[in-house]
Amino acid sequence: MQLLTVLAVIAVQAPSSGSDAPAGAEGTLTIARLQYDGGGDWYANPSSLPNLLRAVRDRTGLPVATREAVVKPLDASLRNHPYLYMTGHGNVRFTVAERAALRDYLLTGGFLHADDNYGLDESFREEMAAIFPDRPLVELPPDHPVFHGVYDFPEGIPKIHEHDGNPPQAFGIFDRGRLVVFYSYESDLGDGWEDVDVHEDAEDIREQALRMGVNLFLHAIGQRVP
Amino acid sequence: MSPAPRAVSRIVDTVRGYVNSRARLGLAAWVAAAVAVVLALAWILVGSEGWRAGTPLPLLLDLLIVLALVQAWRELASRRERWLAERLVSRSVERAAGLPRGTVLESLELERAVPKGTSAGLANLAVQQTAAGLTGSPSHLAGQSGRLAEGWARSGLKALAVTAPLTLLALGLAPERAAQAWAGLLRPVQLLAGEVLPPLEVMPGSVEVARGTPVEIDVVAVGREEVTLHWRAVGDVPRSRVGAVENEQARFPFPSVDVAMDYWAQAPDGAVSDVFTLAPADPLLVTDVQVSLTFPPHTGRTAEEYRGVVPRLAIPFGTRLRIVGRASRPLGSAGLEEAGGGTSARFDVSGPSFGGDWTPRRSALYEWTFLDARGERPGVVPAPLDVVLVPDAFPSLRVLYPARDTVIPITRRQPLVVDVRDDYGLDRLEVEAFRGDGPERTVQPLSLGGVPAAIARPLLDLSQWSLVPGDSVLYRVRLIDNSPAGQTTQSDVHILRVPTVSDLRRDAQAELEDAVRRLEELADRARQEAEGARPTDASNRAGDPMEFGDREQARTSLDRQREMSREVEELSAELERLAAAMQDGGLADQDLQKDLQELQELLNEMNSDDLVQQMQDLEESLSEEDARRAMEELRQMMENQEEFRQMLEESLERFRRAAVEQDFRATREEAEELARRERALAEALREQDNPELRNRQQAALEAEAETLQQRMERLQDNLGELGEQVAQRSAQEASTSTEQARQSMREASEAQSGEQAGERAEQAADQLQQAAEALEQAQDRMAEELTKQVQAALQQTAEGALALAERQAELRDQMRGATREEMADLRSDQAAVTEGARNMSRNLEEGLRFSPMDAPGVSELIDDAQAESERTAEALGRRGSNPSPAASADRTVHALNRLAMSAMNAADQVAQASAQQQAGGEQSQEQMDQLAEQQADLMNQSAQMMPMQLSQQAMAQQMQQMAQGQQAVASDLGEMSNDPGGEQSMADMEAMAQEAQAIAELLAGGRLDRETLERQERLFHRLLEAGRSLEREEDEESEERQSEAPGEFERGQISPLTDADLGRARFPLPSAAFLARLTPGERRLVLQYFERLNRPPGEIR
Repeated sequence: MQLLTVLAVIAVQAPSSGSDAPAGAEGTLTIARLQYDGGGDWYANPSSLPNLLRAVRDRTGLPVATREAVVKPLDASLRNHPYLYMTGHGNVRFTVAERAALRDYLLTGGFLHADDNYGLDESFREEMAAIFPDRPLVELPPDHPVFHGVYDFPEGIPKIHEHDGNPPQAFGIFDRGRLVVFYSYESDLGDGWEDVDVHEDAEDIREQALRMGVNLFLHAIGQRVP
Repeated sequence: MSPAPRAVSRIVDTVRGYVNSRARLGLAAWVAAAVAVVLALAWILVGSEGWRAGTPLPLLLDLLIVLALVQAWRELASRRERWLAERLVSRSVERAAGLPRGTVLESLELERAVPKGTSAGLANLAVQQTAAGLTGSPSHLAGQSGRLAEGWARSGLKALAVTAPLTLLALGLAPERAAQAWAGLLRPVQLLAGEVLPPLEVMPGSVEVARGTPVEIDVVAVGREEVTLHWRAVGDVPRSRVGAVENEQARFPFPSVDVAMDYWAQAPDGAVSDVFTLAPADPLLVTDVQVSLTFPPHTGRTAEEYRGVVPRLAIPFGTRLRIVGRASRPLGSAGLEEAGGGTSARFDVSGPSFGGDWTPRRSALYEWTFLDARGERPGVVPAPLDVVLVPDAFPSLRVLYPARDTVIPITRRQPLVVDVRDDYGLDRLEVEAFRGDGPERTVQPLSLGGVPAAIARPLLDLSQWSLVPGDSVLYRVRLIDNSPAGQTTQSDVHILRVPTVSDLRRDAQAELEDAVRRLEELADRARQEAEGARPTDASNRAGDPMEFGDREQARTSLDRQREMSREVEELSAELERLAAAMQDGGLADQDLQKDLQELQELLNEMNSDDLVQQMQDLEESLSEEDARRAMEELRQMMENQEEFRQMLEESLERFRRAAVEQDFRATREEAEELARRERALAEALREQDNPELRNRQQAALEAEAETLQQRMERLQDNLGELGEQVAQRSAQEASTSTEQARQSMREASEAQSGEQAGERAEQAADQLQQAAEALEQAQDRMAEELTKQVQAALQQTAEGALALAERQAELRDQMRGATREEMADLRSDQAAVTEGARNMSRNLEEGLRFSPMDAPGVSELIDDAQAESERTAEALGRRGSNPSPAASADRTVHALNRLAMSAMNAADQVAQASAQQQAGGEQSQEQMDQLAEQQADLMNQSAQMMPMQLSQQAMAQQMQQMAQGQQAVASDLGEMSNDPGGEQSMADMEAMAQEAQAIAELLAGGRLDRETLERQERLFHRLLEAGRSLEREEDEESEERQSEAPGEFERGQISPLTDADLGRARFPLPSAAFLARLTPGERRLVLQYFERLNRPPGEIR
């Protein structure tokens, strides 16, 4: 008995073409890496996003780009990318204008995944408090849909690398029910997406990270803007 | 003697008079009471209509009065006789006066006569004494008789006191009735003897008339002369009118009946009609019509309601309408009818209300029909109901990707992107895959959850199907909406082809040629852009403000450059995709992969960081209106654009060459494959099995040979354009051989005997093989020429650098101790050295133009040498320069010497390039790639041989060759698995080697079937994957990171998310459907209200 496995993702935002395209090409879907000031290494984990994009493409059939784009908060092209990713080990600092631009972007359909690569936490929380003084970071319970998209994570966000011996946590900021910011802490998903030979992680660890990344991407893209 | 004075008699008479008066009073009272009772009875019996003629009642009542009088008189007489008896009266008086018994009586007798012997005086004295003792009033002296009479009178008065008020009450309540009643008592005989007239008839009786209309009431009063009409309207006092009876009828007109009124007629003879009611009636009106719509569930529409005015209803089929309403009068029927006749609907009627459910079946204008209980139609009806039934549209689908017949990836999983829509909702999508009439057919449903639109991305997984190169799978997408009928739309049938290696090669060639075309267009545009930019370049000088026109032109240049850069980037990405697709498709062609990679790098270099930065800076300066900066950036960008254009031109040449080389490879391999198959066919022709099949096969091969020849001719033209004349001649030779092969094939088809046919076919195979070898030789020669060209360029560079170094050394020696004037003279010589270095750079670029190799180290050294020479020239022109001209010249000599060495080394490396081996994993990776390519060839051969259905003998030679090829793969894999250095990564080598060996044995045993082909394919995949694994193990610059695997941890309790956490509004907005019904002003007010409601507590804005 032959089995057909059909994986369908129904998305609200449809790319205009079904073929891969480089980052930034008009009409293609990709992840945009957020370039920020403050001294932190916004460019960390260079192979993570291409690997994640490949996983999204292979596992879901979504025709996403092969590479990520890079944007700054005040770039006009920010709004071309529904999915923003930021990581780093150090300081994050936004100007007043950048905070306003990010807030506007997130409240009008954008999504930000911030991944603490170890060292980002304090400054990131400060910036989020400045951008969203009315919306605190809340911890996501394991039953949140982001943990049960394509793959199931019954206990919540997986732990990829050790930081300070704390359990992994996922925090979010919501706007009218829509998750606009996802912050992974004490998890280090980005490390898990890197090439195999970078951290030499066990295959299951890497797989967990990729699966969570696929879940995140589909959840973010699939959310309706209220 | 004379009688005594009548004192006592007088007193007794007085007493008797008193008693008599009381008795008469009693009589009167009792008679009056009896009369009062009779009068009251008469009032009761007369009724409201008066005494009817002929009634005996008044007479009876009169008789009753008479009887009462008689009885009363008799009673009086009886009582008077008793009460007025002398003895009783005397006794009463005696008792009352307290005299002894008999005193009064004896006194009376004395008064009448004194008895004989009695003294008159004594008698008189006795009488006077008795009289003197009778003191008191008569009522006192009456005693018992008086009391009896008084009692009778009192009781009579009491009876009168009771009955008289009743009579008076009757009189007061209805004086007319009392008058009628008592009047009848006065003429009882007349009444008894009166004529009985017919009753009064009143028309129209109790009716409803339209409000405000005049009414005439006719009273038929036979035998009367007049009749009285009485009426009482609501809210009015009772009225009456007397009308004369003419012709036995009296008419009473009423000009307008506005309120209900009761009326009746009465005749003087007491006849009274029934009471009738004249009620005004309003016209039949229908109000409060309410139409509620319930839509079919699959539409997802919420119910709607309309009151009063119902607009045009555009509703889906199956919508149920609930209609209710009221009328001003009780209805007989209510319904809807299609204008012009046709379908109708009937509603239930209950009094003035109506209602019912209706599901329209046709679009039409439906008119209301109402009839009241009397069958009258309403004066005004509601507007007709305009119903338009909107059929549920069929769902629409569009396959966005791949949207055409295409090649399935080697993973056998084809992603699809389908745009699906429906007017209401979609139920599911089905992907059906099948293979002609074969048994393999699958349908996979995908639930869409009722959404009206979506982009569905099913993944068609055919990995479990037994597919080999050349197979085709048909598929289509079917979409079903959520209507009860489940309307279905189907896409066209598309084909997924499992590509053969030939297909992949030609696809790669087509892609490269397309890339060439696009690059040519891009190069044209770059040329035009470069020409168009010149006037701006001349007209803008640093320091001048930028004119509007110049600014716009700068912006246009910037936009065009961006566009070109983007196209280059897209082209690069497409090459990357092509490489992946070829690999995924099973084309393990190393040369092609290398070409694609190099072309990709070339394209990436065109979009240099400098150019990107320049574009960014120019954008910023234009937006900041910084004219000076903008001009400077523009100038620099133009310089980079020139470099961009040059690289574009160079890339174009490379692409053309790559396309031709791919054409070469594809054509050569096709020739080889054709030769193999022709040789196999030759064996079959010799055996003469199934001649008809063999003829068809020969014809098919001949057609392929014709196509091949055309490709060779095209290849000739392309080689000519490239200037590769030697290769062009070889291609011509190959074309000639192919033509000869075709001729041989035709002769084989026409041969008389199998042996002859086989010979001819064999000959054709040899000729095709010659063609393939000619092409291979041509290709090798091309590569050789290129290598030589590069070598020559590098050697020339080395020689040139040495010559310049010598010359520079001479100049250096001259500079030592030279005077200023001598130094000045040496400047021109130094300039010549500098120019020489520039020429070297240009020549080297030219020499490496078509080469996939580059010599970055050599180019940099040329630049260094050139820079040193320029510095030396500057030093010559400056007084007291540091370093001195001689020292600078010395550095130039060294730079030129380094350049010469580097160029010579590079030339040696180029010569050894084909035999160059890299250490470690790269060697293994190349070997793996080669093995994968060999395996792909074997797979291809098997796939081509299988359909030919050759006999075992005919296949024997082919099978032997294939078995040998497979054995070679197995041996190589075995050697690699024994490599001690790569133990970990070669873990699978031994298994693959064993598998290859097993397949070789199958082939050697003459077994070639689908299973063998599948095993070959699976081995190919494993070889590909092993090669990729090795590729990933190559050295790559990466920062060393310290990362730890996660240890033990315990997750904490996490509270569920509240509405506040989720940023949801405490008070949700009304639905969009509701808001849509409001005016914009109302909507704004509602939204503002809810915004204020949902503000966080304490927030003030």
